[in-house]
Amino acid sequence: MGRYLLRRVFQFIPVFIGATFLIFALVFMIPGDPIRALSGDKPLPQSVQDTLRQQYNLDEPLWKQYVLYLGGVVQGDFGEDFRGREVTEIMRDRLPVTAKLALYAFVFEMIIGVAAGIMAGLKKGGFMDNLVRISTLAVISIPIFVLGFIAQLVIGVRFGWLPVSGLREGFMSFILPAIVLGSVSLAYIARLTRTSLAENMRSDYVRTATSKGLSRRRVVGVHALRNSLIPVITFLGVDLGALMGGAIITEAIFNIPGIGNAVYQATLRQEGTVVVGIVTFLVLVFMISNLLVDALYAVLDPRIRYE
Amino acid sequence: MADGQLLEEQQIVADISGVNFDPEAPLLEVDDLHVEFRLREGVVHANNGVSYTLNKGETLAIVGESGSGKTVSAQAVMGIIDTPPGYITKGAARFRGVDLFTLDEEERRAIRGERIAMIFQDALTALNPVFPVGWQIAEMFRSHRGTSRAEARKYAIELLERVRIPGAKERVDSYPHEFSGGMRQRAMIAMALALGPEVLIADEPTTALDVTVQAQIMELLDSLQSETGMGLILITHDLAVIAEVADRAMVMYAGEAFENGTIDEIFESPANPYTLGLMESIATPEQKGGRLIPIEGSPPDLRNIPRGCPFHPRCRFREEICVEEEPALRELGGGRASKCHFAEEVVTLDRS
Amino acid sequence: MSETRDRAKGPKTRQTELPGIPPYETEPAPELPPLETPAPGEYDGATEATQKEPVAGPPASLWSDAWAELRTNWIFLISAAIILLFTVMAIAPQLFTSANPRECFLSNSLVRPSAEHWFGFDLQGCDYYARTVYGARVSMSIGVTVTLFAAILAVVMGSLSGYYGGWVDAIIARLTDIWFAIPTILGGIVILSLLGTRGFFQVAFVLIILGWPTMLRLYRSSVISVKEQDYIEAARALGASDFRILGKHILPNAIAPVVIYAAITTGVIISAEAALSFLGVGLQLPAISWGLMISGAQVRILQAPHLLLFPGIFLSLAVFGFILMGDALRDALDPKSR
Repeated sequence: MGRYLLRRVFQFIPVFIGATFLIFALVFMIPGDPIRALSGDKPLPQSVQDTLRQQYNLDEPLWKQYVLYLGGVVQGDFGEDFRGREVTEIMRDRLPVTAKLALYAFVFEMIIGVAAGIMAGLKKGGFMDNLVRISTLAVISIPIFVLGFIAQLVIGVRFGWLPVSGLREGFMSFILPAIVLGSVSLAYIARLTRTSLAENMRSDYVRTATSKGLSRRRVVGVHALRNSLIPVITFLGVDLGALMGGAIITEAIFNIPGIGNAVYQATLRQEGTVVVGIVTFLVLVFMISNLLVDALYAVLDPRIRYE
Repeated sequence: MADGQLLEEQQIVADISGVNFDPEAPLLEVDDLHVEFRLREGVVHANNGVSYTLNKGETLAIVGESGSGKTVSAQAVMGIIDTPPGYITKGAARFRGVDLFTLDEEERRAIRGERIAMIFQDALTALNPVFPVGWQIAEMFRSHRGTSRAEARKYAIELLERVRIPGAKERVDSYPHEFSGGMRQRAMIAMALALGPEVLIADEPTTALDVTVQAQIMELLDSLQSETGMGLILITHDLAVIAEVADRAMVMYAGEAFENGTIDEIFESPANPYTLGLMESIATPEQKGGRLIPIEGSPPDLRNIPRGCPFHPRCRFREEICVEEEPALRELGGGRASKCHFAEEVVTLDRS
Repeated sequence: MSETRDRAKGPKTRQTELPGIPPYETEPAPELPPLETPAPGEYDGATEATQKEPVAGPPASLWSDAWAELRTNWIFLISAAIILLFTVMAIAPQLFTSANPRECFLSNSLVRPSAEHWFGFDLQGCDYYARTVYGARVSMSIGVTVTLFAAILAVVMGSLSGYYGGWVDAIIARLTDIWFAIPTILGGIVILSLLGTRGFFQVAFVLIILGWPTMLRLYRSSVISVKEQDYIEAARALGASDFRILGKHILPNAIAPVVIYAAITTGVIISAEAALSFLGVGLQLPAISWGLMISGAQVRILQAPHLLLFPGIFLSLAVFGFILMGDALRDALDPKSR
């Protein structure tokens, strides 16, 4: 198990370097003036340009630029915005907000998704099964921003049940955005759970467990479920990436002051440095979480521990 | 230790409330079992009148080609057929005189694993890959008897030792994929024996194993049976395997019992052309250099069983009556039975 | 050899990105029945000159079976109808509306839907129905283009990676790992926000770049399973060149998962383009994109919800059509669910 984890960590490093290099390359190796790329059409005051030039070491050879950039990232320097404010500073206030939003979405999608999937998987072809099949398809098809607006209009405005903007009402403010954010993932999880469970219910070991005279609850809840949830856990790693992208949209729509919104505002204002900085950070988080999911996966499935 | 020893001398007390088992009745008596599967493509008649008896301490081999319905009959007894699409349309399965099909699910579950146990062909897929082997064995005690984890684990180790797995104490926490094929099968046997069942059904227990390991497993089953006095049902398509271990055999074809008898009778003087064909198709050293004699044709599609005697399309002794009329499973005396219009003639045939 | 095979299968390797929407039935089994086995004498190396071109007809087994089944599958028919509808809408929007989507009169600003103008007017006073219809062109063309190119790229690289294994495979595997480390929308935002002009090509290019690794992985593992088959070995023994094997024998048998995924991906790409355009990093005005339209609808959402609704419905329906098609294809091409 230790060896497996060690290998994963070793694989992490080149991927980390590769991913940061990729982002770096996109920004600084695109033909043309990188300053232009970072700032868009707006002409920046010379002082800002100079600062940028110095920060990103644009006078140095390319490879050195990257190394210095990487060094910065490792030390937690993700750049500054055009007014000299550090990206980390911007993120500091907003990170907890997005984290909460993501957490609520996560809990929501896991509980409902797995529950729906189990109900659908146990009675294959039943009402619940078909309901889940169609509704998940529909939810996946409707883009998250459309879903968000509809939720706002119907639940927030029309019925006034939940707040639709800002964070004035504390926890309540998070409910609708969290549901919207988690909706697509919920659909995925429900499908995955359903298929996985249905498949596992047909397996030999379930037949053995039944032959052992175990109660149905135990056969399904302990034996089948444990195996069925493995692909779902795997999915969680990828899910975080989707949540990040979704958070940007959701926070924009619901006006939530989180990291996603920061990215959105930065793209509107064409502040390339902030965009690059935050995205780099998010990519890092994504990679680390995948590593953790890898570890979790090894805990759940003993077969891969000895790879 | 509350496992292993069959309660021979004791009264078989009803351990399930309201169910009265008859200590005098044979261990297991399957009577005219009919099972069908209603599928999209048609109705598969998996069992069409299977009958056999199993007594204490006896080993009954259920023999037949793939698709003959042997596994289904066992599954019916265990009560693990999925309904839908499987339905038991007729017949009885009496365990110590009590028809299992008349019991409710809770009662059946109490019997399953505890009184009648089953082991399967491929231990790698039959065991849950994510739980340690010892845990799965101990589960029998924890679930059925409410034994504590520590106690149950101890019993699991004892069982592993009993089935001759070396280093049981270390291996009890290993996972199924860490065992070799033979060891895994032994572990599965240990799991089945945990609560001291009176009947053990072994469905193709050695088919997935190497020949040498096969012999070891069969020997293990044999000795375990002598120890416990339990009834053993051996389901297999491999005739060589049962020659040593079985007392009686039932030959199945197209979901029906075609012949019943002792091992000697079946092997030496079969009373049925199908059995005869099976015996002749076994490669023996005497035949060296000669040709193998298979049975012509292939088993029927169970959705479309031939009229009359199901075997008639492939039978070299076929007569008019075989095509028209389905033979009954006739008693030939001395516990012998055969489903053939010409059973007596076949028996007295000279096997050359 | 067996190592790469193990890497392709089962739970042993955790894929960092799932291939598309989780299926409702079981995954298609990688072992598909062979297309055709080379007849004896076909690849007779000694008589190259007289070598007869084996007829590469449709495989009797998988594809024609699948087609026969699909023809009567109502899920397939519905999804095909939806896709057809939008395809026609994209190619010939004039069939659906006679109005000009770019003819806008401010005096019509935000007029509600009426019998004459089904979807009303938007902020600039453009006929919204016309705009919505014309919006199909962008979505469909981006969806199809991106998927097509990503698929081609994936098949080519996946063939090499899967067939040859070794260091080629290792490098490609590492590269795709890097790609997977960057979530799609984030990557899209970063790249696109740095580009000056964002026209069709730029957006398509970015989406292709972000999308092909998953398809590559899929095809690669399919190739790995198929290449172990006996008939591949037979072809090789008879002297077929690698190129021929990859193209004629492996491709038709390994492509099924990619076809399924391609259908689903097209829907996902359409959705992604809309999302990016909505965020302001996708297509720019004056392009007519559903995403842009919805983005524009934000401002007046309370007064004129129809601005959101109509493109939203069209968008969802288009995506739904493709995803449904993927589901139907999966049912048909999966030998296990027969």
